[in-house]
Amino acid sequence: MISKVFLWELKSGGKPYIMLLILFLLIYVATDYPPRKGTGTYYEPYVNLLSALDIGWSINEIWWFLFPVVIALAVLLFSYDIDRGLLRTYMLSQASRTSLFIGKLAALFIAVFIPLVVGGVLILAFADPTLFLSDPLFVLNGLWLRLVGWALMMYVMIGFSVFAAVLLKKPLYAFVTPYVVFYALESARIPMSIRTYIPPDSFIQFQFITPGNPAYLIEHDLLAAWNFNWPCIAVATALLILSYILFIRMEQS
Amino acid sequence: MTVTRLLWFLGLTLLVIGLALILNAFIEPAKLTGGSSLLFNPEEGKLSVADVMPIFLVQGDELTVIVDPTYPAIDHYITLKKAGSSWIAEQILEGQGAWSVKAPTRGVYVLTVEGTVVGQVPEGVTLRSSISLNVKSVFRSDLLEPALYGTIIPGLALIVASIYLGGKKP
Repeated sequence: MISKVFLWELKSGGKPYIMLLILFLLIYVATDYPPRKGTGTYYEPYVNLLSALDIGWSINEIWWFLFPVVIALAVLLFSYDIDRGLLRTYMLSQASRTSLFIGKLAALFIAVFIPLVVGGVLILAFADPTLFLSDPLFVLNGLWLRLVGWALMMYVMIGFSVFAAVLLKKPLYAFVTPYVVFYALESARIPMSIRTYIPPDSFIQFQFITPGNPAYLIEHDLLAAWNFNWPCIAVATALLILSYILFIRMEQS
Repeated sequence: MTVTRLLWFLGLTLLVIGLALILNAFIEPAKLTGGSSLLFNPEEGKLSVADVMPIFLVQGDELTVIVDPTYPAIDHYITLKKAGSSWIAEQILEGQGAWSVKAPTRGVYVLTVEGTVVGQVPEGVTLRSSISLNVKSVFRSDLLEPALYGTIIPGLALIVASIYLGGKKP
């Protein structure tokens, strides 16, 4: 039943087109090469230039466009007000609330994650070999790290937005609340996004990259250096559990 | 019906990727300027920092290196090397001067500047040279063509094929 719910939710509501939108934004944003970012000063080659050479390797570079899409999808999938009037009520009424919740959650995750995987492969294949003349297959070595980072970032987003969508019955409130919460927390200097810098493997060939330099981090050292925001992942988990409890107790009409 | 839908969606995906790349190419690259200062180290007889700066250039970009030393008898040895490639351009500037070079292909270039003092330097002269960079950017047509021929035209072809096969938009 879970797979049925999953496929139904993935196909409905124009989600393939939302996936294309995410793919477009990802490629458009992440292939933003440095010379366009304005004037650069070269007084500190070790610090400024590494970021100047960067092709959006920072995990939270895609946060600003991904978050609204995830909230909108969560509201479309989980909002009580939107859900109850739809024709799928009959089909979904045969599924248990648990499989409904898991299927919807899986559809939400996959609908956002597939374009991220496709876009990630394309960006790395486009950017790295042309920039650094490295082997395209070698370039894809670092892809899994980026995907893990993106998945964790999406996990936090999904935790907050699903909880808002389940708790608040009006879709508009459910859409605005996660924004306000994140804005308030970031203003209070409680970082909520996953901030991780993943340098390309080919940075190694520059002679100014020495141990102790941020760009020296390569795959094996990276996991140790990742400053994952564990508290915010824990909060997202708690919110997902809470929204599951709320969802299975929600009255069926 | 399924084949038509698959063709339609595949074509749309290719079109979206191509559009993202083309829109990317249409944004004019910002003019890149910067400067760096080199200090003289008397013991080494050279400027103390062999300044290494990576610069991202696309095909046809013109990089100008302007050298302005405080003392005229300093020779600057400038090298521009493409990372991961054997391409190299070098120039010696005696005293004040400028050097322009065009990037042959898109990529990351590493600029190295090294200075040597010629002859005896009088007491009380500060040895320092300032190096400034200027990049005259061109339209990034190198992304435009692969996007057009690699994705947009095949994508449109697939969409047209799906409409022709299915009769209407699936």
